[in-house]
Amino acid sequence: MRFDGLGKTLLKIAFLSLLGAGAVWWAALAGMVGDWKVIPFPILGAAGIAYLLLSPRAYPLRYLAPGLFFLVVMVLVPVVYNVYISFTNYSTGHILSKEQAIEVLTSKEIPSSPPVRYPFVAYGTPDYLHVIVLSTPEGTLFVTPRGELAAPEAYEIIDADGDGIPEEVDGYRSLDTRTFLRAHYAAVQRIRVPWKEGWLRLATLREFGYFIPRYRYDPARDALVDQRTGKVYYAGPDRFVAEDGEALDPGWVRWVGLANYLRFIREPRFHRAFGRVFAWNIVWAVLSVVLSFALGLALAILLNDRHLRFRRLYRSLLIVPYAIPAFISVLIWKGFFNTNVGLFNQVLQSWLGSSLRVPWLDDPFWARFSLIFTNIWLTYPYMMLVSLGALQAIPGELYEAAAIDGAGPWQRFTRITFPLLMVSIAPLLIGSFSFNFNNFTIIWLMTQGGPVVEIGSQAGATDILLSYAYKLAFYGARGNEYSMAAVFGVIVFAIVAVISGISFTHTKALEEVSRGL
Amino acid sequence: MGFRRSPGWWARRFLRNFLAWIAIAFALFPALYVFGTSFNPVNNLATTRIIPRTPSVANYLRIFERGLGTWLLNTVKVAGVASAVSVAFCALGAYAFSRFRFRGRRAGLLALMLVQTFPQTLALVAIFLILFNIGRYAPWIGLNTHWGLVLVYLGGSIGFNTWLMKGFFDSIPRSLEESALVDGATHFQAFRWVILPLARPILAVIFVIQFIYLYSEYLIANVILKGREMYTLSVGLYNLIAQHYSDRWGEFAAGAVIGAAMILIIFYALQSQIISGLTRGAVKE
Repeated sequence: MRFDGLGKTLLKIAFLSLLGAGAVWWAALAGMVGDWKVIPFPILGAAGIAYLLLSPRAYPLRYLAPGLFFLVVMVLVPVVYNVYISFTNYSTGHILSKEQAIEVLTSKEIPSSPPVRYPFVAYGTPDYLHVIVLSTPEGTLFVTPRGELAAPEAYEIIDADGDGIPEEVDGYRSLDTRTFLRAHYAAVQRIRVPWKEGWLRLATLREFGYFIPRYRYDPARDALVDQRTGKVYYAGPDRFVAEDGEALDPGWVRWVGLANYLRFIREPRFHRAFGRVFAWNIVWAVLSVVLSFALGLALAILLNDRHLRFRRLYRSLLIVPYAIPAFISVLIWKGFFNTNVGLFNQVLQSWLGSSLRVPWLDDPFWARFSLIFTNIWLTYPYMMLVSLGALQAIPGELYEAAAIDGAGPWQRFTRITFPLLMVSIAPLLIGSFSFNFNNFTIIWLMTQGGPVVEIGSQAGATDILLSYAYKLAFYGARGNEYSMAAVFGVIVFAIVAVISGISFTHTKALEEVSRGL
Repeated sequence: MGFRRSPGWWARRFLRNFLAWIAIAFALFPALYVFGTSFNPVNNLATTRIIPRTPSVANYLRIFERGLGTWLLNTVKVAGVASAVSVAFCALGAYAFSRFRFRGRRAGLLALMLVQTFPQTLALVAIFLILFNIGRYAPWIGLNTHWGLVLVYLGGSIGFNTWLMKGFFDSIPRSLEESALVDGATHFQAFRWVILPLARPILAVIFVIQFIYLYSEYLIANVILKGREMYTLSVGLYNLIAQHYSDRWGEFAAGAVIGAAMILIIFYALQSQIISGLTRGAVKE
């Protein structure tokens, strides 16, 4: 497995040469298609790898680089990019650059006027499409399966009856319409054959049609011209707008400064939602932590009794909720809480009468109750495990001394157990708070943030900040409001930073870092 | 025991066991209920019973027809690859942080600790748009690809795992590799042939913890994957059941049993190691 020094050096040189060549090739390719923004990436990447492998000072970095790369690309860059997005108009219809928007708009098509249709015949087998032949007044066109026009001389044609439509091309027979539809229609549908001012494409099951672009870009005026009406759409700040105010979709992304943050402050639909959502967010995190800790601690005290037989078995059974993937448990609980067919309402009805139906997930209060209940079920095993560990670390002499001094069980708990427990558990509780503050998997799977509390507002009774942002971004009622979601992301970021700051001053983590030097 | 217990002692003992069994019933009943109903051929949650009158595996056949096999394979592929690569990269990085002294080490450690406190879902919009843009140049790692999802998962796991592993590496005595270094081994050889074999059990546990975590991940996968063929288990099961508790409960129950069984087996086989890993790393489900 060992390389001697020379072999290793040669290998390095060979590898770096290949890498350099590849990078230059890629950059050149990008330059040729005019994608200037891409050029720095391969060059810088190759230079970085060369530095890593050649410089002795970069030796530790060789170990760090692989992980660091993904950490930067998928964690740090997104955070910075998220802040950037919050200063732009990123949203449905504003997701492309201006050049890309022009490209999309100029590829929109209209039928030529008057409409032109050419019947076609396809040649090949059910598994293989050889050529499509269009009959036009100007002669026969040969179209390859990739959508290119081919010279008729390239094909060997048998046209016995002389009607201009061959019976066989290169030995392939014409396909009947049914075979063609079943085998090749989907592929041929995507073909655009460049033709005169526009392109030919499948228009009906038997014909190709001639289509021309609907808009043409006029660089001199920085405007798009509608080919049918002659209407001119001038480039505005983020989209093309005609003089009568009509705008074209899609537009493009642009920097809007603090506009989103001002919108957040001014528009009631955002700041009212924020207040409501934030309040529930705190309640959700606090109750989840406090209640599951209370249950977990109680069970830990129960199990910590040395006289209890089967302790190990009990412990193993009690952590089952921890061992089942959370999304599965949540979906099961969601079924139990279902108002119409759920287990709980069935049981209540059979015990207490047929009309009783608790709207577990359809009423703001009960939806919150159900969520916290489920989260307690999911979280108490963790609390129990850490409490058990902490309980066992409390020296027994303390209890003996307290017993001699005449302290009862309750006093022993409040004066000895709990304070000592908190020393080691408090940081974990802060961590758990921070985790639950943003833990919207459960909420999303269970209620999607619902039920609705205010008509016209997407923020439901059980939405927390991140689930509301998720909704704005990916399930928006008014399209995808990426930039407003990013604003919420920035706000949550600040909140988490404060919580982390508090937790770090209460933990030994920082000391560990210092000692680790 | 030679002496007699007081009635109070027996009462307390009974009470403790009684409370423990109530708690266990609370912990187990959803799982037991779903296990029982998965064998009930009736598909409606309302009419199902814990112990079916006529047990059958019809639900299991049905859920596989819905695509459970594909979802499981997708999940194992994505979570497996992301966890394995993450462990490999983090082991390298943790070794450097544990053994080398270099400029920026302290800052790097602090940064790692800070980074792992911010969940990736905070910047989900940015991650979505980054993948959208990557996909325009390299469609195989863009939106709606498993490799794109692997990239996101990989990035999200680096901070936490490196930090965890560095702690373990610190506890391995330096003298072991120093003798190898004196014998002329390079640092990488010392890492590969001395440290890695010693750390193998811990790396395995971190792999398993990471795998279980990614196996259950829903939010990011839901944003990135579109189309039934691409779904992971969490996205697939959610979309299957969310609006269909009245007519797909049986097959969902079968899917839940299969989906949970694998993780339950891994969890209980490695119970003590996984628990110490999870509680050591404080909060990360």
